[in-house]
Amino acid sequence: MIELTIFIILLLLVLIPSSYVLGKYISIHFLDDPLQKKTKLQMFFDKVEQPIYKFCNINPYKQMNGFDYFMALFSSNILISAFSFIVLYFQNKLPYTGGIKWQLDIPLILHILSSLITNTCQTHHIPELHLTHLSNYFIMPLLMFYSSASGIATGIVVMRGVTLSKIGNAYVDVIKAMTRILFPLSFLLCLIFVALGTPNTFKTSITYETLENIKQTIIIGPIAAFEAIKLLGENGLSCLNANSAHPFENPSYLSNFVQLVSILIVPFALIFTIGFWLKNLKQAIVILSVLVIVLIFEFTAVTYFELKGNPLINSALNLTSPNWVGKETRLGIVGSSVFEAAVSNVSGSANAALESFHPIINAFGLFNLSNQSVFGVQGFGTVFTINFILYTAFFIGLMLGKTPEIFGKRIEKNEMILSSILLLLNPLLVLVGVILTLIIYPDKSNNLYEHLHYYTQVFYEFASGAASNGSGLESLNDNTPYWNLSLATVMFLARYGAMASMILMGASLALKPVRTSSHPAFKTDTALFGFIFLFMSIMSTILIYLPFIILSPLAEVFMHG
Amino acid sequence: MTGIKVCMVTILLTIIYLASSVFFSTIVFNCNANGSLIKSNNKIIGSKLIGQEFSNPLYFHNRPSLNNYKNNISGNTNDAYYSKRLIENIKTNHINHKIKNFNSSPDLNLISESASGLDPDITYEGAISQIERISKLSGVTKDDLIKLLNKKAKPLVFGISGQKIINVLELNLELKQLYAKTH
Repeated sequence: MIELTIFIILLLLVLIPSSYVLGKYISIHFLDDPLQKKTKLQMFFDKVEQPIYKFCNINPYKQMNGFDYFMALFSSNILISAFSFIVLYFQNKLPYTGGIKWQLDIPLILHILSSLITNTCQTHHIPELHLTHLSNYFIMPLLMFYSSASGIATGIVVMRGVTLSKIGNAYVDVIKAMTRILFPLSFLLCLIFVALGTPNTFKTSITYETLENIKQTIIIGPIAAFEAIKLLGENGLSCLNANSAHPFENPSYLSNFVQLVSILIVPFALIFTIGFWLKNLKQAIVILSVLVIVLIFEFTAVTYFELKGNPLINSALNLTSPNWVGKETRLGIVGSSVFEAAVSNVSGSANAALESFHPIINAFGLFNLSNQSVFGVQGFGTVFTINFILYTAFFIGLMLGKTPEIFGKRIEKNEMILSSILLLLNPLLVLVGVILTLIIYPDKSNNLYEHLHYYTQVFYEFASGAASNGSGLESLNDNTPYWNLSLATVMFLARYGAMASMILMGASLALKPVRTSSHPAFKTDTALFGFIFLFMSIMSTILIYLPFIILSPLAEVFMHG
Repeated sequence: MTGIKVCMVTILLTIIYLASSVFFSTIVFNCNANGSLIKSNNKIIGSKLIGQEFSNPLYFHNRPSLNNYKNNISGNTNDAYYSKRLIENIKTNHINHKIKNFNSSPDLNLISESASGLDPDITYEGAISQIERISKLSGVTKDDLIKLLNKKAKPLVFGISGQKIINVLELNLELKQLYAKTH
């Protein structure tokens, strides 16, 4: 537990200052306030982007309305997937195969594309077996960059709508998200990862004879470049099957720490950006501290259960060992547990086998996947946080008998409808998916535990798909046409349904005037508001999901202790 | 039309990103960028980061692996926390370890699979539990082996403190040199 305390303190010490700086940076670059003098960095990026705007016929000063904004993001998402479909389908006829000649079937391609472009990055394929180097190290980063930029753009629209009176231009936001955040930061991160030991080369494999004269082949590639965007974009796709557990992807304890920082930095920064745009940093600190408290609680709980160890193994072998099963030695119990707790909220990568964790961690995971607001996936998580703030403000407003408002903007019917869609879309898709699957493919074993665990797996798979997270309990045999097609549909509907309602909600809020009164009905930047926000966020998730969580992972725990 | 052009720009930017990152990392950190390979007599014998299969009883052994440390597919068996198969496998590994190692008990780390199946390290305790076997079969004294272990063991947490872990390939390379000296 001392290690955990040090780990958390170090993490916050690194994360908070760096995300403060990044948040300030985002707030300046995505506002483009004509009254303020441009910084040197802004002028530099303006010069870089000018030829891009010219080439694409974009007028960067043209504002879009909500519907156009969504259609622009949606259509470009589809276009880039269509391009990737062609490359993936003909991958074995294209160069740079790295010795892989696998013909991908269409359901699997659809699943890969749907999971990548929606920033879910659920992996049903085995990268070392199914994907050529061209698909794996070029198409995947391409989609990850674009989906992550789309996520940031969506987040930015809602943040602008809530705090300012402006919508923006979809193409400008996406291009800015790439040129000003994702590419430069990924490049920096990539070099850091290489310094820590991750390979980065265009070679495809190295063969050698080991110390005992056995032939061993190492698959290699631009892994560091892949890692950087995978983590920064909160995608979590693996370029090698073991994901961040692979020694090449995550070579040391320190690199694990850096990975955790890079997963959390953008969502942290976006919360700070809200504070800068509201010109009320206290508001950002209130929101951030609520989310950080939830995160630290999960870190501690997961680490506690993993350090305690597996009771069945410990009693069978007469040991008192922490649970080493499915964990890497160099990352340690604490490093793996903290990472797992963080990624079930945020990204979907993994540095240990999720199956080998105590089932209570799956319960936490399912809670996070349905809540989605504890940092959440790139951009979208911030919107879910704002959504719960909206709910809290609405709730308090009704309790006080005043007109509900958020940051000086009235909350009316339109926003509440869109925000309810946002809240109910996820359970609708997940629960319908789980029920259909259990009817079509019931578990055939006669063991009660296996039944329960199958239910957990199915539930987790759909929840992670609908939450654009992408982690999964991997002993589910999920590379079948049924799983590929059903999850491709769920991910697609969940992502673009949410995206549409988010953007429309942001646009609708942006049109409202800000009423600055010296005596607002209630203040949103107090600890009390933070507490009610936490309560609302937890309660609304529990109301929807608790019965199902009790039936699956918690029942497993009650069976075995 | 604008959508297509934005996609084309993204493709171009990704190509620039990949090419420049590989270019710079090869120049600045050549060894790391190529996989941290270890050479012995000018021949590549492995990577510092990737575990190898050791079956020779004279060497230290790694953790069990689903694919026997073949790198073509990384991963593990993914048995669930309470599943019978997991408990049975670990029991079998425990018994096998005891038979091979003259009844010295291993820690859980050494008899359980890692997540990647390529874990290059074992814990200090795991290495200690193999000393009996190596010393009896090779004739090197236990004290010498423990000295070697202490030299190679690194603390887990940022290399500063915490439980000690050992890179098996580097350890076995030293051991090989030790054998060459004594014989």
